[in-house]
Amino acid sequence: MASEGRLVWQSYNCQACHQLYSLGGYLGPDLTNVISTPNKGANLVRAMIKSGTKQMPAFSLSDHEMSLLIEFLKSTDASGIADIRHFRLNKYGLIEANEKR
Amino acid sequence: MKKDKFDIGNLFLVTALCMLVLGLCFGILAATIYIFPEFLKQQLGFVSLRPLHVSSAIFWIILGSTGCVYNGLKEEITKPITYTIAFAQWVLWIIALVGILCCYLNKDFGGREYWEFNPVWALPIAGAWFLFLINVLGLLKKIKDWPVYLWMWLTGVLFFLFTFSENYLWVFPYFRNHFITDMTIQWKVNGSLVGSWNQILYGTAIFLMDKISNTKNAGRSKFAFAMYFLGLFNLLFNWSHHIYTLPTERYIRYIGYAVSMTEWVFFIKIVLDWKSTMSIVQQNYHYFPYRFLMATDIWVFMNMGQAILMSIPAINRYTHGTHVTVAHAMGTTIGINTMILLAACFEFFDKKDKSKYANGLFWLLQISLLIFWLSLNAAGIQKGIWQLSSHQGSYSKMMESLRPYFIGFACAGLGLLTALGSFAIILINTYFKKPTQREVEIS
Repeated sequence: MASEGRLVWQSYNCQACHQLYSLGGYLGPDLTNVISTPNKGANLVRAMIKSGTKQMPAFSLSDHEMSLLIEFLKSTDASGIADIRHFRLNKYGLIEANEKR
Repeated sequence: MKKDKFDIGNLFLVTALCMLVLGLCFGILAATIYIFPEFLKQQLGFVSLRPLHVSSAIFWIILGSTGCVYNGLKEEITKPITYTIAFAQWVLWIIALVGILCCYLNKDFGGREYWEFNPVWALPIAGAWFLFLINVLGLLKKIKDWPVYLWMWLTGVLFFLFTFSENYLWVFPYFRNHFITDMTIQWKVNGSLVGSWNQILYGTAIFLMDKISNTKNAGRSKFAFAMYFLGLFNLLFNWSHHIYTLPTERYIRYIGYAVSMTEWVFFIKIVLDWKSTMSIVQQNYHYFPYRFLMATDIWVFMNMGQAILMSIPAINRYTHGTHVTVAHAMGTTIGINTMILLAACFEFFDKKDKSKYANGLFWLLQISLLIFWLSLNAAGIQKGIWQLSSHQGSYSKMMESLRPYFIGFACAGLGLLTALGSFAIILINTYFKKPTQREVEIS
């Protein structure tokens, strides 16, 4: 389902404004870990998509598309941490994410 | 069609110039949304305007590069280009670009950031590029003792086709099912695609240097070949500084970091060569081709310096995902790729233009681009500080605080629209009104 959800992400061009692992558009926030972020989560994502914001239009996703998209965001959330505050320089000069959030 | 069969290179160039004008118009509309968030929200929105702008800009670069290769090869050999294949290639491009732009206007998406479109349109593009490869190989085999720019053109053409095909691996569920692998491939492809057309454009810059100075020094020196191999090495491996934060295999990131640092060689060489390069070119005065190549030199210096700094992980931590990345992308697209293409267009269309009007536009372009680049960098640095702040406010408040920089970048964007748009119109007009340089030489 998550890989089908990525197709929904692409077909609505979410990447034009949003990022995953800080890669993507710059108008909206990074959504890699939106599902597990306190005070956010799947319900907020659903609400935002249906109602829109000041600059984001409302999108009319079907229930099926919405569940696929949420599954995709759950899988990105499980894949790692994107918040740059969790990254530290290692002894070789590269940045590595801390396992703990 | 108005032009004869010897003018296929200029047909590609004039089509590219039309895409430049479109890209500028879409770009200024998209920039307005940063200041007035509800601007065109229901009609087009950023979701359509961004790909309209990005794709038009990429079409400008790719079609322009194609035109430069055809025009350059025409000067290297005496036999005519296989016109039927080249014209079929042009028709396939027109089908693809019209289809892609219409899809964006109808909110039909479905591809991968950042050159995204419904995958069906990849077919005419791949077909066009395959025809290009056939033509280029056919022409190159007639030439012995290749200067470095011919190697660069062939490398760019081959790598584009390979990387463009790789860009569609996600269509197969096997690749799409592994999210991190899929993201790694996606950003590897994005880096390598840019590397491919950079090979063609840097080759064009060397070709123009030789043509303007009427020597073969730049294209046949041992150092130029050493730089070519280093560039090829970077094309293959230095894309991984895009993905320092992705939880992918460590060795990929270590290699990327190490290879990125080899770019210091280019950087130091540019500084050392600057003075001598200027004196060689100044002796042979092709007014605008010369000026745009000199401007390219300065923008290469600034953008490569920025790129090398961004490749250092400790700095990348602050700049990743910020407008510093946009500044780098825009700075290289306009400052390097566009300057080389304009130099080539003036060389092939009207190398003797020295009008004061165009001179003013040249300086408007440079100053606007500097303000544009600085505004984006300033916005990016402020966002980078916010990203690492332990007491982060909301994203929308942070974006609101960047508004002064966005106003600066939108105003500079108007300057770019005026300058680049006017240059494009001057050149398009020259193409349709006057005989081209090639026709003069033939006659």
